[in-house]
Amino acid sequence: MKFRFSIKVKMAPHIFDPQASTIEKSLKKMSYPVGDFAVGKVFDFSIEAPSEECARSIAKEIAEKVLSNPVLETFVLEREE
Amino acid sequence: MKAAVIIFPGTNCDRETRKALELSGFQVDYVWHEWDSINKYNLVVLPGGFSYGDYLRPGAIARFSPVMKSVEKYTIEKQGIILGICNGFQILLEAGLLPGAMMKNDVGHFICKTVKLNVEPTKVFYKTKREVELYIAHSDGKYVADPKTVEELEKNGQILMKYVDNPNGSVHSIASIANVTFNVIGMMPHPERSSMKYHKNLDGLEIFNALKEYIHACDR
Repeated sequence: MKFRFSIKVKMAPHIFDPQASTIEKSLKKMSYPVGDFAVGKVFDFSIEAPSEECARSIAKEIAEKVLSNPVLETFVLEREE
Repeated sequence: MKAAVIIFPGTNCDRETRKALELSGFQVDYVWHEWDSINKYNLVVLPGGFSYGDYLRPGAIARFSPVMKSVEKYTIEKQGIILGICNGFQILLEAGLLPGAMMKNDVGHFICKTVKLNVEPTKVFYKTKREVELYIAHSDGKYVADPKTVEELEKNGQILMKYVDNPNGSVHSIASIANVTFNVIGMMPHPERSSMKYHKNLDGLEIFNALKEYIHACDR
């Protein structure tokens, strides 16, 4: 069976991200009331596996091992219908 | 003394690195990233560039190349010295062969200029002059690690070079580190860009010469 997942990777909250800070500053200059800005990446893909549980554990392994760097980043794994 | 220069798709400092190593007296071979035999070399260099277009994160895809399995084995079995320059350093960090990570420069853009560096009096560069000038060329050169790791690096003398003016915002101004067993070295500056007569600065060649002496000392 095919299962679709979405993985969002962003900088861990304690890491200063110059990219997010630059965008936030620019938006503030445009008078938008923004704060706590974060920039990340989204990865959408499907996994062929016998069960959802199995597919989820493969997706989690991909997120931990390849798509994110645990020193800097955190990720959120979501199942897409 | 034999050195290998590993080439990944997107590596672009391979030829200059080879030339600099040859000037320093190494016999140099190129090793394609899909090959996996590196055990005959005293020094294995991962040169600078943009392996796999720096997609995902710099070094994140290159670390899964077949040759990296051999690099890990080479490191564990202490067969010789591994040197990662710039993108090579980023690959070694991603592979977990060196602690910490690289992130975007604090200034938010690519930096390409000569910088002053303090060469720490470690066992790797104990004879080198204490201040050198080398090129840096990177977007993701801000070295970060958790406070405990940085404390360990300082305590064990694993920090090999520090920026004088810290152009990218690296923690403790770190420009180069070694692993705890001193057989894996990563540096953001490019010594190969200050190694030839026409560079009008031979500080980089001095770094390669020191490395050669260090390998000699390790072999003894």
